[in-house]
Amino acid sequence: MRDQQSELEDLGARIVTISFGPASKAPAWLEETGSPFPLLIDARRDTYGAFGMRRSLRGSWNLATVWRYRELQKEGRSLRGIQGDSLQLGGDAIIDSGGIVRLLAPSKTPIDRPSVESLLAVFARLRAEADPAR
Amino acid sequence: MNNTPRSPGNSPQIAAEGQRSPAFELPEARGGVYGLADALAGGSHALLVFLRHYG
Repeated sequence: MRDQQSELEDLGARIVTISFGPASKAPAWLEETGSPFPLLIDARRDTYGAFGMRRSLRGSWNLATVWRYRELQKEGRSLRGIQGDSLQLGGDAIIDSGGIVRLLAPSKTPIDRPSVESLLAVFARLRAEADPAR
Repeated sequence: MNNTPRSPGNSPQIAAEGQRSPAFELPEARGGVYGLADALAGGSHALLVFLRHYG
């Protein structure tokens, strides 16, 4: 996502990350990932709930998840172990400038995320709607 | 960044595509408070990325 940051910004998108993890762990995560985006702390998971982010044992822990962690370790990512609720899944949402939800994609598994290309396509459509002449 | 608390008003409790987004306002890890209004400021659209965990 960071690689497409300028492209997303050109389309009028602002990226915000949200975590339910402890605030005390946030600086280490920001440093390790180098994320330039705001990181909001939703300890009570109210916002997770409001956007329909799921909690699932079967969705969180399956062969594909274990395989993905193995691949990340092979790539040199240091895994810090489970912190917080390991059953909580993430997801993505796009809200247009008028405050309307235009995409809602709660993950079914930890690796179930919309592609960056599909996100860019939504923002391109929003820009076209706002300015059909472009 | 806006540090003034805002009321969610009459926003719906659960998000749905095509409907008005639930309002939110949360502590930002680098300091301050950040809400939906901040994300949409200046006519921007927002991509919310809900993380699983830090692990």
